[in-house]
Amino acid sequence: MPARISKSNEGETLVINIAGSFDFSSHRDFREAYIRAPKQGRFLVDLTQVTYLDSAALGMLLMLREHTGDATRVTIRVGSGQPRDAMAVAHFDKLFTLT
Amino acid sequence: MQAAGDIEGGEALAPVEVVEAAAEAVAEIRRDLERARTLTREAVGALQASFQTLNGKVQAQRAALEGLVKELVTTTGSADGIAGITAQMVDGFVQEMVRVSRDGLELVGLLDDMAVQVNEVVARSGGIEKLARQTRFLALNARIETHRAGEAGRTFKLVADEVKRLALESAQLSEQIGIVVGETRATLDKSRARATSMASHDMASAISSHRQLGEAIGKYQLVNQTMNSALDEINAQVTAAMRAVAFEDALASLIDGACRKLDSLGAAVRILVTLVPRSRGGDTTARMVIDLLRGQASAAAE
Repeated sequence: MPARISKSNEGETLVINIAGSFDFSSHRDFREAYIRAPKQGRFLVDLTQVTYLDSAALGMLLMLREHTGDATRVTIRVGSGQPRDAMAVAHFDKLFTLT
Repeated sequence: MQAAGDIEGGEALAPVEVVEAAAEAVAEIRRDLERARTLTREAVGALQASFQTLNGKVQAQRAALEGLVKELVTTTGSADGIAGITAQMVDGFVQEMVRVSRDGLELVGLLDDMAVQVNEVVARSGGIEKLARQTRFLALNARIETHRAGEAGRTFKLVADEVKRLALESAQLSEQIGIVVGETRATLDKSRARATSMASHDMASAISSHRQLGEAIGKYQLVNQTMNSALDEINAQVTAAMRAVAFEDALASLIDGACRKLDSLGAAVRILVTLVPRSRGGDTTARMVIDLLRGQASAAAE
């Protein structure tokens, strides 16, 4: 079952909220959430409600990073547990701003 | 002390004999002291050699441990050490996995685009089929018209037949396109499934390996710290012990002092030998001298 993905705007920041299991099945919804947003804007991906993510989810985040062309504009909010562990293993703290 | 024992029975001895016995006692005490000095020097020498060997072993052990730890563990992220290399391998593996996932996702996107294009081909091919149907219908109408025209329509009938043949060929072509499109769709589906499986990998084993490696590095570092602390402690103890056994010098100097005093005492006793009367029997002066000597001899021995 794909993760639930919703988006909202906070000023110039596009907030993408994801809940549930974030994996390959979410790739279309995730891409749709950001693809039409201005590239120059800021992005906040909120993964605090994500219970599990796989390598495809990390790949999607990399694609968002490439889409913006500037990793400093992408912030990922992640809770503890498996999602944070997976990001730590992939050294995502060096690729994104993790909070 | 043997001499003092002899003096105990001195009631029957002449004073000169008592004094000679005292002189001999003094000499014996001096010899005992010298033996004690020699024994102490030998013991302390052996002790120092033993501590030096122990110190050498401790240093060798420390060097061996440091080498081992350096080989096994260095700080995380360093290129040196087995743990460092393993950590780099795990990192490289994870990064490659994420990169492959990203490429897989891109590939799935491209295959989806291709599926849209194939659908476009199907739509166009449907147009060809429609055209073929209309052409066939047109040919049929033309053929009916040639019957009505009779002899005059004979040439036109040939044209109508040709149009019908073209319509049939168009229909066949459309059918062939349909078959190829079906095959292309099947190939696309297979490719998409392959790309999907390429993109999706569970991170559990990577997380577990990363955690185990971190724990192993932590344990190695703890062992290293504990061993280093223990070796530092042993080193300090050995150094303190080596300092403590240096008492031998002080002891030797004390013994030398005692020997010098005994030499003086011996000289005094030898002078007394010449002074005391050589008659037998008890004598108050002799008794006093003996008491004095006994006191000095036991003080010197202590």
